[in-house]
Amino acid sequence: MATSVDLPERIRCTEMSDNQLRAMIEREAKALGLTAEEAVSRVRKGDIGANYLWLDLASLVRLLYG
Amino acid sequence: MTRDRPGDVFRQFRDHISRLLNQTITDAPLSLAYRKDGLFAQFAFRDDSDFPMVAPLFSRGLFLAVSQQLEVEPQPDETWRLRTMEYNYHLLEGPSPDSRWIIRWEYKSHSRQRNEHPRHHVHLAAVVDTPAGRMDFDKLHLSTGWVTIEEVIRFLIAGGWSEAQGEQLGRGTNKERGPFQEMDGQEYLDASLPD
Repeated sequence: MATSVDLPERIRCTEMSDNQLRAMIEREAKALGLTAEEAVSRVRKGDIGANYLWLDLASLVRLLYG
Repeated sequence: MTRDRPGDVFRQFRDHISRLLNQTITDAPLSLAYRKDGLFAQFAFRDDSDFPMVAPLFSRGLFLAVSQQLEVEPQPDETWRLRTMEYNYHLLEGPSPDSRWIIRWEYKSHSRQRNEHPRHHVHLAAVVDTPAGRMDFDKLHLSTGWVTIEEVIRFLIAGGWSEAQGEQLGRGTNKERGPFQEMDGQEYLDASLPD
């Protein structure tokens, strides 16, 4: 079980570069059976699934493209 | 919140939420992602390869997906105001994105998307037959107030859906502030008010 003692090891903060964000989007899109371009297009149309993978991908797209 | 850079504000809020989760219902790591000096950030549970995951709840076999999108706005006094633009708390039966969900608490700011349905709402995996017809709570957007992760943690523990780390709950002592006492503070809740 986590305790306050080991908490710092579980904290992750990542200042992302654009390339890192693109790579993450591509990987999550692939897991959904899509290319990155297809996934970004669907996010922009609001045509996304309700599961956590889609939600994460949509938030990464917003981070990258605003 | 008063910090020099947006990243500091995001980290402060994420650290608070991560601490609450890790001291109560799960030991899964909550990861924050943001662009350098960007005004947006998001956090979610991620595995060691930075792929999104759900958090297994202590002992009860259920899983929780958490994601929030945050934004900071510069204030005239050179501080930053933190806003939650979107939250999603999904209670699931399994770890896969395709796993059956049980409850989905969701919010999306009007500035992100304008809808006819309540922007703060919950979906339930339930259908109720009524004299007027079926109420499909899977698809209906059942209105809620502003739901914090603190309230979701309380719901899961009080309902017996997750075992809590009892010694971490801070019951009965003022020397060590437990997460529930921290939850009762307003500092962070106020800092993440919806628009």
